[in-house]
Amino acid sequence: MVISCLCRAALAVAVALLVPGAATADEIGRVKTVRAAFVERGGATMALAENASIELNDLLSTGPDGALGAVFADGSTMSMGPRSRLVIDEFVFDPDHDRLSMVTRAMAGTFAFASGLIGKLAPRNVVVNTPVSTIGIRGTSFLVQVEEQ
Amino acid sequence: MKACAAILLAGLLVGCAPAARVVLQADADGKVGRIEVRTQRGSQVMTQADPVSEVASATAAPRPPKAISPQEIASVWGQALAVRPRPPKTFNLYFHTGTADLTDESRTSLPAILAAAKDWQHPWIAVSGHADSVGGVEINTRISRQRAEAVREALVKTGVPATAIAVDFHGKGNPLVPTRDGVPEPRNRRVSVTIR
Repeated sequence: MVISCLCRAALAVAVALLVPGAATADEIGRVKTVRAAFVERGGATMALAENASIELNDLLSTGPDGALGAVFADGSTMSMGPRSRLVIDEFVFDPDHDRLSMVTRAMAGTFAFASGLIGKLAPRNVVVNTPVSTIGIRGTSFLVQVEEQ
Repeated sequence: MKACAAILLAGLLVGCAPAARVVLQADADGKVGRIEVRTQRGSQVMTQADPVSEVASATAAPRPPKAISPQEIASVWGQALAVRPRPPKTFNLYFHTGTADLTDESRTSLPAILAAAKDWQHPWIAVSGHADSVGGVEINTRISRQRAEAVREALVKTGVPATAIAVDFHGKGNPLVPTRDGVPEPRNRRVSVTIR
């Protein structure tokens, strides 16, 4: 009886973990490397730590000595140097239903991107916008610099 | 932008820094993709590694791609490149048909996954279950889920922290090798483990 109870509890835990990102349903990426970097989310600004979650519509930024490296759910990576700002405007990773897109907005600073599964499966749907241009990417690594406006 | 406009008005075009520039690079596996830079006035396409495309303003066409030196790349992007995360690593594990039993060969690759996870800073591990297209949607969804769970359990048993693992399952969706419905395909009876 006791054993069956424990089993049930274990099963409940297992089920909870099964839902992708159950604990943080909005998680689309994680911070891997960080130095004086911040996130503006829902009107509040927080300092970022290693392994912190990244969510849709986050505004990521770095200070004068800052740097940030992040990985996204599709395996793409983005890193940024000092005095940089970037917003994740769109991130859809649902390969089963062919719903795949990633749109970021590089507002200022220096960036290094490497494409992931979204770029591989839906190469037309990966876009980086800057204040002056639109960059369409077909599965590759690339660097972006945006002068402060 | 304003400073740039002032310089333009003064007729001193030289020294007007580009507002944005893009450098196409090869992927970690050496492949080079394609980049298109667009403004209101036109576009430029880059298909070879290490040219730079510059844009002065939204109302100017992007300049044709030109060469950029490794020194300049290092001086502008050095700090961003220094913190670039390592490329994620994916392992595929395969199963006997209709079951969540790993093939013997796949079973032997579990320690390699543990070793990679241990070597990874803050590993964020995606375990994704898949099935081939033999049978209905429901049964394949169930099998893909059982496979993913079996792999998670096996990884946790070898010492991978459970908290680092997120499980999902795709039934017959997102096959590694696309087939017609009902075709047995061992390479689609898989669980992919991606360490990010």
